[in-house]
Amino acid sequence: MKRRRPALLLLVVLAAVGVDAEARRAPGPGGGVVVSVSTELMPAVIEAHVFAPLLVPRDSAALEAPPLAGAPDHASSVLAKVAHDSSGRRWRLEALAPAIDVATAVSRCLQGRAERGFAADALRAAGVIADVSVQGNDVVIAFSKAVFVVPELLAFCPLRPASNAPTGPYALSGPGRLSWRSGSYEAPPLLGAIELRSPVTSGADRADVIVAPTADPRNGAGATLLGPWPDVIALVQSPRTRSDDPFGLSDDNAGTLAFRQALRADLLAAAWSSGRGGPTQALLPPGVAPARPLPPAEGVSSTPLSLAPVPKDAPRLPLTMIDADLLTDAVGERLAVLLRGRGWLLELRRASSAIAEGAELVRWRPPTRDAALSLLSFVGEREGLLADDNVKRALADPRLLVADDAARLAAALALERALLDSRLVVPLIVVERAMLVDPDLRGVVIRGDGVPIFDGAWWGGGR
Amino acid sequence: MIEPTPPPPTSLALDGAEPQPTALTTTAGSTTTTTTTTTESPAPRSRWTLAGQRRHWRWRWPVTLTLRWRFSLALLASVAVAVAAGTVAHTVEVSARLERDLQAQALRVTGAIRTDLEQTATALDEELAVAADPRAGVARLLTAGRVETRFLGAQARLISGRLEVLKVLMKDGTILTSGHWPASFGALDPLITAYANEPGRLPQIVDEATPEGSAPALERWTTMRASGRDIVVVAGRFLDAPALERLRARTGADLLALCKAAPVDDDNRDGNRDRSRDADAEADPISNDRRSTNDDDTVARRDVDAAVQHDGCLTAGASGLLGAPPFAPDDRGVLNRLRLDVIDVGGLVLYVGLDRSGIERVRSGIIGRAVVIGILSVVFAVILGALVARRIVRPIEDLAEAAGRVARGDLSARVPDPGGDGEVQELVEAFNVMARDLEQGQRRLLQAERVAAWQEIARGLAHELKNPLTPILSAMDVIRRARQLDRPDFDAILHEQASAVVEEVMRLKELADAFARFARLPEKRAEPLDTSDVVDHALALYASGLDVERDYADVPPLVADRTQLMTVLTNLVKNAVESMEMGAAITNRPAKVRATIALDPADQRFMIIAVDDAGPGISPETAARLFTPYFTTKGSRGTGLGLALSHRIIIDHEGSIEASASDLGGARFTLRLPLTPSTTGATTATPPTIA
Repeated sequence: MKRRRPALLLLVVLAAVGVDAEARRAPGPGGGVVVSVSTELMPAVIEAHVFAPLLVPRDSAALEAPPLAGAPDHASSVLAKVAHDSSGRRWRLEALAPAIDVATAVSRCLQGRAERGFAADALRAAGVIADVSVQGNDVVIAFSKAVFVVPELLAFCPLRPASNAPTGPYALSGPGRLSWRSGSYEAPPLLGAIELRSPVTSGADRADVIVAPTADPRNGAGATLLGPWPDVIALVQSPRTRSDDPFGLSDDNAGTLAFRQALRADLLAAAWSSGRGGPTQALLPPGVAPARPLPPAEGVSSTPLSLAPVPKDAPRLPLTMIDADLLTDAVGERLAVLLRGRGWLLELRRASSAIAEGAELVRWRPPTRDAALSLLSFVGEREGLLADDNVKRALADPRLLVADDAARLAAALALERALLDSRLVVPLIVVERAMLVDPDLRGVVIRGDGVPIFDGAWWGGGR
Repeated sequence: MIEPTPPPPTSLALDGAEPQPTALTTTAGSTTTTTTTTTESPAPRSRWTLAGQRRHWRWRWPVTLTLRWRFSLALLASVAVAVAAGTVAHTVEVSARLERDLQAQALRVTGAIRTDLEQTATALDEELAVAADPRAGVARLLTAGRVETRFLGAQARLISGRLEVLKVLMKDGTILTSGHWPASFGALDPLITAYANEPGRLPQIVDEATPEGSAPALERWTTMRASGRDIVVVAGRFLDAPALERLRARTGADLLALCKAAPVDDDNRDGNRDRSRDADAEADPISNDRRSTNDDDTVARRDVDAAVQHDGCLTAGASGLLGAPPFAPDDRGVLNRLRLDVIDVGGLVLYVGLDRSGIERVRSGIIGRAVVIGILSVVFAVILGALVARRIVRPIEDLAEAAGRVARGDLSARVPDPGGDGEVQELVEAFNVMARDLEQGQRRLLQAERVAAWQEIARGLAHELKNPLTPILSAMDVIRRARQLDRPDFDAILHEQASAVVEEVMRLKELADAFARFARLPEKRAEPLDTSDVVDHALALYASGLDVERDYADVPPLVADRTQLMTVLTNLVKNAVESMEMGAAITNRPAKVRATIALDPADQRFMIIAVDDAGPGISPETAARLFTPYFTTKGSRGTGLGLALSHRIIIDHEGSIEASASDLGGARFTLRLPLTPSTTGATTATPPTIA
């Protein structure tokens, strides 16, 4: 019996060590979140969580991150350093990830192959051509013009390799279901799963997070989370529509003011956006551009609107609405009222991209806090805006891509002024993008382009 | 043997004229029979002729149809008539049933539409009642502090397909809230005039403004006071194309067309539609509403008329049923495709169409199947007709062929037994019995004729023999008595009487020789002959010095025995000359002989040789015995064997000889000879015929 005691003791010790080792293992991500997100936004949400960003502004990072060498306002888990030559036409990115994957991602974002990349639009509007190559472990970008805002251009650019293998903290484990994965370039998330639902599915209104732009904050019981800057609902006219002038905007300020008075943007925003918006005469919303003087909005008394019948062969204005929500719909129908009084009929069309004819009613969200890049991407998406000479002159301003923030903002405001004066772009309403979040869900961040980021989200409040 | 005589010109039956009976005389040996038949009419100039004494117009087939064809055509016609009659009857029955079903379906559909519209009217009533409640409804909307409640409250109350228009207007027409167009707040509603002028207690169609333009809507409205303001509350339901399509899908109609009311004159074009409309007006309060407000030409009505006029009518349904736009309810094509019923809706006309093309398809299907069945039936009838006709008509055709053979003298013709026990079988048996009886009768007749002929020959021969015997007996008695008396002139008497006996004996010898020639002709030696040369030779022998007319056609050589043909012709010419000599005192006509040579127009293989004279002609009694041996009209000058011998020769040449009246006034003997006789002889040659 004495001979057996050491063996038993050894077994007990080993078992105790094993239990202790299991208990001391770091806990993995747990829990999940159900997110109701519009169909239009769903690909961006998936991409933001499946693929790690090349770099992000430090103020929008979910967790505290060290500054990136060469771009101290940005942080990155994929790049070790960025540098450029004195001309600003040659940039070198030192990659922590495989350089070929980084080069692929950069090419997608700068050369227009990304689904929602704004950088390619901005460069296209500025007339800049980018060439991406790999040199050892570095990615080299050569521009046709001086570009000093590469970190801003590549912010949130997803590291999406050619194989589409996930590089972010989540992977698609089913239709609309993201599950935590190890091996991400980023820190592991706190939530184990994200379930994305379309607003039309049953129970979507009881989701933990309602991200759709049509989300009515009045209907939700959760906390309202606003985006870093509001959206702008703007009317974009084609050059021909501008010459036809169905809204009577050509009468200098009087026509525009009468139009704005009849539009009653304040009531539209109040009724269809719970008052989280109002009329605007600027294309760059607060948060992207500072407050600045606007033309006076008084002095014209508009005649009462009338729904008098118009003949069937009356002129018709095709109005395309992209990613429309309730407010945009209401604005479109209000425009129909205005047109009716002027003997026009409106043809409302819904599409996913702008069309060349008629007009476009767009709920525009500046993709970045950088005013110049935002406006450049806005123009880059709409070639019809280049028909105006003043717009083209403003686009040729080299300050749009310089490193000096003040100079870049001044150039952006000049470009905005040119767009407004051309009457090709008529800002109507500025409205916040609201997101309903369960009060117990903490750490959710709305990215600049409106995409919610759950990398640092966790359940608090005992759940 | 029956041969038709050439009919006199007056006996020819023209179309529409009565055919005249013509006498035919036949001769068979020494027996003569006479019958009466109808001559064949010339070819008709038209297919309709008067037939019989009753003068009925009768159809004549343009072509001769055999019984087999007629039977097949009759069977074919019967099948076609049966299939056509069956098709018509079936089509009529099915069409009537489908029309009844369609009518029942139309009643159901129009009833469902009326119910739907009545429910709409009820819903509008309820909504207006709610709106009139100052503690709820519109008043609550207007007093709501939240802008979105005021602007979107009306929209939230809408119910698709039931309450689709809910507007609150100020008294001046300013829109306070609009459910279907919330963004139209603050605008002036042009319908305010109609709302102010009409009580709005009954639904009316108005042209409601929409963001896309306008659309007809069935609306009711009321005025009330809320929040210290006079307001107009309007509730309605769209009757635009999508609404019509939903209504159409719900009620099962194939087509709905909302049109403005047609003028009265147009309505009267279709009595059925008038009746339907009247019935609708009596049963439907909406229709009554239309009548009650029809006198007022309101702004709303003008608007709706204008809206409907733009497109003609608002329609919902399959484009194939509409035809080319615009929809025209009076269009014949539309009426053929659709059954249209009419419902008056608030001053407009709602046409409810049910697809009747199914009926047309069924009808076409029936006709198509009938055509197929008809074709198969025709094929079957043709096959069956051919088989049945073959079975039924074949004995009749055999019968006709056998009858033809009998008619041509072949009494041995028989019809094969067709089998069975029907009428045809009885007819065939009767024919065979008749043919057998005829054959036996002919055999007996020939036997009797042969006996009679020999009796005639014996009688004539006895008569001829008896004539010389009497002088011989007398001479012998004179010689015997002279011997007894021992007459001195006995030698002279003997010489005289002996000479008389010898003369009579010579006559007897001559008689015996002629009889021998008649009884046994020499063998025929046929050779190609120039017929005119033979005729001229005969004329030269006996008719020289007379008026001879030669009517010779260009004919081919005749193959015959020259000597025997010469015998016949000399007999004929000699008889003609002698008859004219004997009858000259009676006829008092100049002697004339005409010889004719021609081909038989009925059969070019035969030659016609005729000899006409201007003598006294031949009496019927004489004609009946003309070719009988030892019959003569020349008394002791003739042997009575000339024509009998000629008849025998012609028969031996497979021809015929015929005596008839000549247009010269006398007799006409016509020979009909084959240009080339057959090698088998002429055992069945045609006996002589005398007209």
